[in-house]
Amino acid sequence: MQRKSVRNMLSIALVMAIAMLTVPFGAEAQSPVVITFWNGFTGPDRPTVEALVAEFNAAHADIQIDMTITPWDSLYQTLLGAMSAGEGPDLVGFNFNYVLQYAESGLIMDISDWFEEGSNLDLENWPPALVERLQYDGKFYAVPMNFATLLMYYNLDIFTEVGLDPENPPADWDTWIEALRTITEAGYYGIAIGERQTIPNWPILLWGNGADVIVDGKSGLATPEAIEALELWGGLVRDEEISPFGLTGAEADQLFQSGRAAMGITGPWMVNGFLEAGVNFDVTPIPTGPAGPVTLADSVVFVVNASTTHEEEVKTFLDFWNSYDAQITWSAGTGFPPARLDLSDSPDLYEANPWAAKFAAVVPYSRFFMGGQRHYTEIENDIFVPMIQSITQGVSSVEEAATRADEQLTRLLAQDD
Amino acid sequence: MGTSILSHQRGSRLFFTATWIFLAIAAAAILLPFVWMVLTSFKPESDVFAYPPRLWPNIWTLENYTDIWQQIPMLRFFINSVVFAGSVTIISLFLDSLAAYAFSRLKFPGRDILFLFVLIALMLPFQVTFIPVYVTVQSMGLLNSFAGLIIPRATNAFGIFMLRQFFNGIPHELDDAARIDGATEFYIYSRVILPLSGPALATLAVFHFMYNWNDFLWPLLITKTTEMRNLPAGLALFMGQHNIEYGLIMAGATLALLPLFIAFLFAQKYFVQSIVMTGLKE
Amino acid sequence: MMDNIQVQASVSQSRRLPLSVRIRRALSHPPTRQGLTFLFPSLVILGVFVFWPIIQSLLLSLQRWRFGSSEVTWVGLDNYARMLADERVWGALQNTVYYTLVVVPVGLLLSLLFALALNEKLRGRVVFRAIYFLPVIASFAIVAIVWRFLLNPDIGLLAYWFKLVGIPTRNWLRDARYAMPAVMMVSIWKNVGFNMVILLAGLQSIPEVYYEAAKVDGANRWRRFRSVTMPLLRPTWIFVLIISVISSFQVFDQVWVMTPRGGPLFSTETMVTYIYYQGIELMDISYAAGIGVMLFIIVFILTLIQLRLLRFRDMD
Repeated sequence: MQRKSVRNMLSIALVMAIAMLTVPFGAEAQSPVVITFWNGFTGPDRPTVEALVAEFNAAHADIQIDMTITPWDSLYQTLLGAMSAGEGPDLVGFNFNYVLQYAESGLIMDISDWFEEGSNLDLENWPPALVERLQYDGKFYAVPMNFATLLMYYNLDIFTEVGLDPENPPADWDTWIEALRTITEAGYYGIAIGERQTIPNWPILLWGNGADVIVDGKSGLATPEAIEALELWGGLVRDEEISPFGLTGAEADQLFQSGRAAMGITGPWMVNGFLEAGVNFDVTPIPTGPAGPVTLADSVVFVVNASTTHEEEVKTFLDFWNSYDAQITWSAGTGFPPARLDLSDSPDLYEANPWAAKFAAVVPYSRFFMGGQRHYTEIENDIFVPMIQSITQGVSSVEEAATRADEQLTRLLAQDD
Repeated sequence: MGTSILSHQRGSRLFFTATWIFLAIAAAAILLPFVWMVLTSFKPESDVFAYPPRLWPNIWTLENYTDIWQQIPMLRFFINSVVFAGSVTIISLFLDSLAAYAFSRLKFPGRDILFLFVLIALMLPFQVTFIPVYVTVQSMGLLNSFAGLIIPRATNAFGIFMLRQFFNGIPHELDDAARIDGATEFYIYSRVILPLSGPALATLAVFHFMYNWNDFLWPLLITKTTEMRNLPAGLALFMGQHNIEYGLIMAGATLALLPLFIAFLFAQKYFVQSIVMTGLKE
Repeated sequence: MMDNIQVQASVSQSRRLPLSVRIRRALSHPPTRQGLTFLFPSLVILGVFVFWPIIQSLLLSLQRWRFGSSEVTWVGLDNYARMLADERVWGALQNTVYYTLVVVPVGLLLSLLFALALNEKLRGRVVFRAIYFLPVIASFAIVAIVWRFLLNPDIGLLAYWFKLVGIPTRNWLRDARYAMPAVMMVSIWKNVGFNMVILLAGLQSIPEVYYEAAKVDGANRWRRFRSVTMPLLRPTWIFVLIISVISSFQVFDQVWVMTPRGGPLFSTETMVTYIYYQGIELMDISYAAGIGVMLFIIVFILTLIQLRLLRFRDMD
């Protein structure tokens, strides 16, 4: 009996060992230097990223970029696991908001000396607002990967149908609100405003009225400008139903795509999708509010793993990415405006992708939402979005919602002092 | 075949008809999302969110199916998924049933405590433990290998618990008889208990296979290179942050679902394989 | 039960001996040896890849470590104190209990009904069984895309059909009042086939002879169900019940993909979605571990209570 059980144990171990050995292991690194590179450009942008990487690999026999694309959510989670164990890729592309936390912890490399005048990594190349987001504590930790601005999409057919001039979309808040009401009365939604899980829409409405979430390091949510903007737009959504409440970004886009909403505020990534879906639309700057023209800017940046041993090769790739030709290819394929300023009014860009040129035109007055703010995620998810939601769902009055959010934000910001 | 509380009853025809209608309505409701999924995979992108919404495509196209093969290395992902899910299923079925046998049939001090430990293994979600698990796999040098993917999954508390319960349902007369005849425990395990557990083993096999086939995060965490990616990670490539390619995803989802569905249909044969007719009647 | 008493008696007898002797004695005891042989591979793997990480998480919960900060400090029960004052934790617990109280009973009842019906020799039962199981094998990501479209009040198919026949629809996933019911509905849809298949396997394992014996005794359908099916199915449904409670306390995927980050006004925030939010999105890993440990304690106590109430040991 006992001998039997020993034999059983051995046979179990044997079976396990065989099972392990018969499955192939991953490919080992070959002679060229392999740079692992993670980013989240899934969806329609992916083919362009892949094409650029393939172009680089073909041109550099000694460097091989091994790129892994996963949705952003999973990228941040796997990065968290990998970096905690001192693993992780040589190069990552992630949202500019993460620079602060990763730089502070020493997980990403100080690359201040990579920026050279006249090279492709010339700080003069990029909008100052973007350059500011590449830094932490006076040092540089990031290089732009892409740059996006938001415009207002509008459905030409609906405009024509309700008697608005499709050639002359609204340019200021008064005509905008008038148009929204006209369209809503005709049985459509005037606009699809994304509330959560979205590229921020509501902050642009606050900015248009001269308000902001954080003003001089303090909460700006209960200022008269903020309350006024929230009363105006909250009322339009809650009482006049110019937009459904509670939309995610994807739902807002679907609503515009289905032709049920006449307008939408989003970035260049939707152009191809809407074209493919056969929507008859154009884009225009977001109508100017009392405080002047403004739109939202967003950026994915490259950061370099502090533990990489291939700095030179990584730098070569980043230099390539920010070259004139690569930027044109990027804009042509994705519709994103190029990060480089010297390209934004170039005829090459217009020729490559006229849509990208339209998004490039609003770069001068574009702003990053809570750029460099440590508590970005918390402020957005736990304070700002719930405030908007309780207004648009009619759970509380604007006054109450704004006051509560203001208290929460003040408390959170006080933690840092 | 099978066991029935209803059959051979007079007047049960009405009961059967009513039951059948209830099942059919439930089936239709359950099926609706899949009908939309499959039909959407044949729609051009412009048709997906047309208003008013329609189930049936206006225009039929195979574009999504041809595109998806060109856009991602489907075959490679597919093979990885089969290797990963297949090996985990086989190994885990074996180890789970061994452990379950010990909990069900062997008596030794500390057994109940050990069983409680197995239950405890079910109680802390992966979202909490994934960093320590990752570090453990890394420290064993198993990152980016099939071994690193498979070994941590080679046994499963859920499977042990489930099989223990099923083994407990098998009358002890059979193995006691074998024991009196001098059979070893391994003999009883492999020749008496396992053959009687067809439905439970088939069910657990389907669960293991399905769970690992659909698992997205674990392979992503453990593997680093594109050649090691599995099917769900491949499909996720069509889910852009802002822009989801619905037609392609639905085509991919249909393709990913098909092997599972076939596996299930195949396993069904064993679900109804009954059992105890072999020895009990004596 | 008898065996338990005997085991306890022998344990207390040997308590006077030194530990090493006791271990050696236990190992020379053939049943122990056999038991450990059968359990060995599973125990090793569970130990390394489940218990070790659990212990690590427990330690983590006594520290302050935010991913991105280089220092790790031992803070005792600080994370637990913070939890008690965090109203989001309590909200999440409440939502989780609400979810469990609805999804477990409704899901179990439906799957038992389906299993009993499909255990009959009905025309097309193979097809029905496959259809009910389909949602189980679909991936959550896909399920979410499809259901979010179907439930979309503006452009969704269900809302449109409802409107055509005059049934009022709701802002299902966007309205704080309806988001949780919608998520529960999708959860039940997703899982009913899972429990059904386990219960079916249990039903299939009941030897026909018992039914025949009952029939000879003249028992009618209901009597046979009560006196044969239910008692013999007991190990199976105890398993299904315990597993369902454990997994619904840990519900994450269904909820997160349908209504990420707590949903409208945190109305669908569950314990694990909050853990995920704290640990992964806010990178406050030690606080997330603390909430995880608290969840673990709750689930552990609940499971013990269930085992006690069900007299698990005597019956199984």
